Amino acid sequence: MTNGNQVKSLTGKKHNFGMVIDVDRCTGCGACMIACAVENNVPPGPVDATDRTGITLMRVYKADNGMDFPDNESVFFPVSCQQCEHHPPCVSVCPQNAVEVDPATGIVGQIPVRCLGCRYCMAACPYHARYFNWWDPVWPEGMERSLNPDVSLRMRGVVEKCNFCFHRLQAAREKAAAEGRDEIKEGEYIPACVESCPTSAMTFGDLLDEGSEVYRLAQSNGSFRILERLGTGPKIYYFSEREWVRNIAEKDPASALKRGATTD
Amino acid sequence: MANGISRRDWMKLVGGSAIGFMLTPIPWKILDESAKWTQSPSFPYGRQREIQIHSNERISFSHTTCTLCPMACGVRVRCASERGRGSLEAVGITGTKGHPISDGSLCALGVAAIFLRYHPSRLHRPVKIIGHGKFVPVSLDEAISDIARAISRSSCESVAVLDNQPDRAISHIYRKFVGELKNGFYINPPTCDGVPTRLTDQTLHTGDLAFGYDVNDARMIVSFGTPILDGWGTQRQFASISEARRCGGDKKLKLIQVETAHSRTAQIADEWIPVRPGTESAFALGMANVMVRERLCNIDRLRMYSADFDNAAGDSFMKLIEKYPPAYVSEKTGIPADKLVEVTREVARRKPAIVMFGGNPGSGPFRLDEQLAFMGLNILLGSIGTKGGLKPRGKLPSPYYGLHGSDDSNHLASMKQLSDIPDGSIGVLIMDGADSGCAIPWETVERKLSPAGHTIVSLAPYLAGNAVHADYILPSPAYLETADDVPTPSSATVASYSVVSPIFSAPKFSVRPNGFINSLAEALNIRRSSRSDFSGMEYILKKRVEKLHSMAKGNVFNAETGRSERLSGLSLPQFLERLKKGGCWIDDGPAELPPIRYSFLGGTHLPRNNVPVQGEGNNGPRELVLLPLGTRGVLTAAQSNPIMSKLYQESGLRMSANTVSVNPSTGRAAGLKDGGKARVRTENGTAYVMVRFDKSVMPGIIQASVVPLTKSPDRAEPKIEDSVIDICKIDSDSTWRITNAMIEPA
Repeated sequence: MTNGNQVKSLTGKKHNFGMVIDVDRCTGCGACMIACAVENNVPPGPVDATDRTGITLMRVYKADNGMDFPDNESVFFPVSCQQCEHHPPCVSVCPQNAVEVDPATGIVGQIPVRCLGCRYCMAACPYHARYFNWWDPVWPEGMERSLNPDVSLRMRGVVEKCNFCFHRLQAAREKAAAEGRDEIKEGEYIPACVESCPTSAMTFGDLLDEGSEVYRLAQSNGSFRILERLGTGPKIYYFSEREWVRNIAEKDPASALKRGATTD
Repeated sequence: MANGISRRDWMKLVGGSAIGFMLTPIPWKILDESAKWTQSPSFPYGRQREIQIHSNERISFSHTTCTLCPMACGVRVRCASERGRGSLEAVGITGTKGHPISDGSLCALGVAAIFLRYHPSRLHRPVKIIGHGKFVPVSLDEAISDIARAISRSSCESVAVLDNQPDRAISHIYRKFVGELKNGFYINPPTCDGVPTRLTDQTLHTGDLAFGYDVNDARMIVSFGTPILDGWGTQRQFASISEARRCGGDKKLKLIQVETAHSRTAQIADEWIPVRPGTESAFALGMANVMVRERLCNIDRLRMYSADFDNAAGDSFMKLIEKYPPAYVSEKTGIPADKLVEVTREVARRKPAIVMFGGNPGSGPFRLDEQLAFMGLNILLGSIGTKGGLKPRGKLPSPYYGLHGSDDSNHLASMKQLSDIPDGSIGVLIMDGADSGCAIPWETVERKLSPAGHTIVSLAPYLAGNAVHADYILPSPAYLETADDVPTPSSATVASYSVVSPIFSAPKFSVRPNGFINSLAEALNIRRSSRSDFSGMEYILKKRVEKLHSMAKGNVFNAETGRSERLSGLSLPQFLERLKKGGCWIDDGPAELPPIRYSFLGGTHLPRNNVPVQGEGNNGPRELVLLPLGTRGVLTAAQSNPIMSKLYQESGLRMSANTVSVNPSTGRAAGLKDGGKARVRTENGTAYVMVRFDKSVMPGIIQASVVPLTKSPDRAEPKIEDSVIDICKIDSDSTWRITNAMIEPA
């Protein structure tokens, strides 16, 4: 996504930021999860945090082909908020208007200060991509000095989720403005998870830009979306050449992935 | 009718008012505000303290090199400084884009390293350990005096330095110091990334010439237990493998993982060959048998260049592999003979091919005799010194002597491995604080210590890993505070060199390793001269950079511009400046391979009639086999970084400490339940574990996760119970791959 010096207008032009994740490349190293937590000031889980109560705005699940030893094959699915394009379920159920879709970018954003913690959105999200702050954000003493100054903390009792590192878009816009540009360059804005991926399994960009790599990959054979039949129109696409991997998304991958279990 | 207010009326008024009050916003507002107050720092009973985030008004960027492992990744640190306060803090870490070794990528440990300066187990003064996990502060002078006394006392025993990242400038200082002592050992840990130099010397007679893996041009990799896709090698090598696996056509790389455990790499390799435990080398010799029998290698050439390939008079490789026909290997490994033949033919056809055998960081390296079998396969494949094979890399100059040695080189202690050291011989052990990336089970060190008494000194900044066993911990500067250098990663085929500039000044309590060695030398009255002056890290680094500059070859990466320039076009100050600011020197290419002769059986260093190969696997009817598995930095403070809870605790992406996976059939036969607790018993002890049923695990195997037991900031105490690696059986050659074990419900 960083090649070329194409310049895009932000003034008046609609974007639709999305991502394609090539799960055949993903090795499940977890760098994206850590990069996301560090970038977004997500605190370490307390001693009693579990996979149900911990906060991982980007979570890598392991799934397999359901076969026994020695025919078992695995795949790793990085799953964050799927940035639904059509009637995101979390938006429609929120009584506080704490979830909003930015019309200029298509990014589904969460506004923690509006959230009252009812967790309807968590129940509505079919991707299990929303997390509730069960505890106050606490870092071991001193560590808070290394928090990202661009992201505010979320208090106990509110829900949060991935917002494609929206603050990075703001920073890119500010930089463009400071340099006298109305536009940001392609590749100037990418989320932390994409930046950290050592195998370049994640490609981020504008799905409306037909010349972009993300558009090409999203349209290619082998790309798929999780629970596409629900009609939520996720803007996170996945890619795999393996049929059984693509089939995971057609069945009930969310709960299967949530369990980290097989999907037979 | 009475006019007064009755008691009933009064009750109605009070009750009505109360109900009416509840219908106003007032009580709810009070409730809301009270709830908010309990979450504010002023609430006296809360544990929440005020968190102040730096302002983003003054942001700057610095470049340096990561020191968490020997892989030399370029790091770009985002720093924020408070207006008026002047304090600088790291608020973000990313890889340096275009870096010749890491190309902008960092591993999970590297990304999380931003918090390491404030790790809960960081020590804030030198301490003396007085009991299991208990310590008292000690002054540096007192500690040095005690250590010097211990060294003076231990004239019958050895003084050893365990250096986890060899060939740094500080490594040369250690070697110099140990060389000045009559009874010194300089010890390096085994490497899981590169080709052991000892092995190449024995099989190729190339002396101390180091070899790396040219994965960029390989079309086939046969990996014997090496975690190729789970933290092995440099980030650029990793990316190159990932890219080549996904590309089509002639350049497509195929990865075959030969391993018992269903490791991360086995899970996503193109093909997993699950051999029985301990039979990897039998499989390799079986492949060699097929290659020779079907003449898939140049036998005439091998006969010409090797004395022990086909030696009718004595032992030979041919005679050895004759004992490993496919049917026999199938019986030992559990892999069908047809599969062995099919894989061998494909490997021989799909060249360039590399056989890799570094071993997993949790289970350590293979035994030397097993490594000989893998190396023999590389020789048969013609992978030595060829494109897409094993290539030698150039040497880096020492700060003390020239490339080709000089008088001073005689004063450096020779490099040893733990297995070289006689048991019970070390009186004083100094452990450097750097990490090799691989586990070093404490027992491998402990058995070398003198039973008559020993003193252990750790220079680690954290109370983690093997430092918990030390008598003195003299905390060295932490990540981003240290001045160091990073030599060529052991997996690389091209020499490289980076300097680590401290981005933050180290706290006053920090003990710089070179300063410690210098003080110790003074306390021991080791003569001070230009040769034995151990002080001045900057001076030592500068000397090394000067020598590198005089070579006038290679390219220098400028981290600030992202571009590379020829070294010959840079003055010495410019070169030094580039390196100090996160740059990297890269040689022009691999070193020239000298004329070599092959020794399949290990030259003169091993008895020719004794090339044992493990292959029996499980020994007892009720016993299972315990396989420890880990990833880079397995037992270090970097892995116990509180934010790593995202991987180990909050997502289950990686198995947390003391968690084992067993096949459901194995688990049920042992009376275990999925998610239940169990006891794993070996001849070395008992560990309490959590059990997970995983039908991808080979029956009869206990696949155990090796990670630090510390899992959250609230539990930053030192070792609290036996971990899986503590109960592994350590062989006489300091390897610990296979341990027979029993498992039962706890």
